[in-house]
Amino acid sequence: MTIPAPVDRDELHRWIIVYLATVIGEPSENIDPTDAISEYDLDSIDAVTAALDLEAAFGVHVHPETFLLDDASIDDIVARIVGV
Amino acid sequence: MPVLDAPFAQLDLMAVHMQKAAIARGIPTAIKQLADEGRTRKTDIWLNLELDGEQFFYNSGVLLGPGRDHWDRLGRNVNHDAALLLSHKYKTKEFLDEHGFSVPFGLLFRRRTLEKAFEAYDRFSGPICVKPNHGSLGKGVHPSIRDRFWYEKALRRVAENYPTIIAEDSVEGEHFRFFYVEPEVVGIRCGVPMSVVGDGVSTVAELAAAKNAERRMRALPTHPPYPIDETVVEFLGRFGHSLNDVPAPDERIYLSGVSNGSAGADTFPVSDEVHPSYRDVVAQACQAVPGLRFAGVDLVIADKGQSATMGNHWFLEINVNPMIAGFYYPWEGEVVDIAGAILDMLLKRNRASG
Repeated sequence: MTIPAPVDRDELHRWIIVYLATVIGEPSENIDPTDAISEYDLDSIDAVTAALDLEAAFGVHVHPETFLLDDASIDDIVARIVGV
Repeated sequence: MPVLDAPFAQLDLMAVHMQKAAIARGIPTAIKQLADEGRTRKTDIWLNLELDGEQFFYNSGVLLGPGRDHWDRLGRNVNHDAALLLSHKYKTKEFLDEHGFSVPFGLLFRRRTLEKAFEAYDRFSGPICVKPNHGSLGKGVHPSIRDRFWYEKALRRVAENYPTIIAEDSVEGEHFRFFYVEPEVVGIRCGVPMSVVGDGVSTVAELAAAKNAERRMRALPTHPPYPIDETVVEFLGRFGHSLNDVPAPDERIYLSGVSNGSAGADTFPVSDEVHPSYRDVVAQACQAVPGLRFAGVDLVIADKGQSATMGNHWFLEINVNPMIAGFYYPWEGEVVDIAGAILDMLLKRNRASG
């Protein structure tokens, strides 16, 4: 049985910021990882796509609702994923 | 979430027809309920079907089969692989365009940067349609916009409820819903937006009231009375009309620009009236989408008697969880058994892979 490699926190953090910036069409510098994810106004399609793409990149299954949690920030989401 | 047997629970209207079609084919059915601490919502009651040993679940246009999806529902959407693309109307537009199918020119905006949408007004040379990128049932659709004031108003309205917004050419022609069940179109219906026809004596308000009275009398679930409210007043005003106007005999006045039955349109099945080439082009478009088993396809056709060519018809969207009720309760015309066609497709697929 293959054990998945641990997720690199910094790499995941960078990936989410760049991913979010790409989805909303703005520079990465506009993304504040301490802001609530709801600031970036993702819809359910964005959330499902993000979950799928994150799984493809890091081998981690994430529920799409992770990206729709009103009060969670990118920092919170990374901590939640790395902690799984 | 636990799934309970609920033999006396009420299925939604479309599941009722799916159940009838299943029974006619000897397919075992049951009614299941998702347990949710005693609170039952319409989306919690599912028709369970057993096709050749595999479990399927159906509710309000959504058909789930074996497997799990990312939302951890009862099963995996039968159209799962297609759903991610087709749920995104703008990506659908891009996909169809890239594959050589005719779509209206359009742009995608996010409400975070709505000013970009305002600035884009001059990129359109004709009437504009503003709509949500991820909407359904015709909600939030604002067609036939001809000036900047209404354009910006429509954008703000859509932005109130949706994060992503499409502005596209509002193409002119008749609106059709084609129903595709792999590998072909099995039904077509035409949607005429809510409208009244003048008699030279009655006001628009009186004609609308009469139409609503007829709808109440006929009690078709797909054609409920249409609310004559400020939305209608505003729509009429955009075209220089009011509820107090007296239309000339046989003059048609539209109270809405939306062709969905769920948004007040009259719907009629059509078949021979539509040139057969449109069935072919819709089937080809659906076959181009990986994993699409059945779909409702919205097409605007400039002249349904003419053969399909680029620029005389436009794909508006492809719906992976399409409503089927409109084919069972048309304003006029014959029923098309869409549920039966879907079940026959699934049985054929199962047996082919068997």
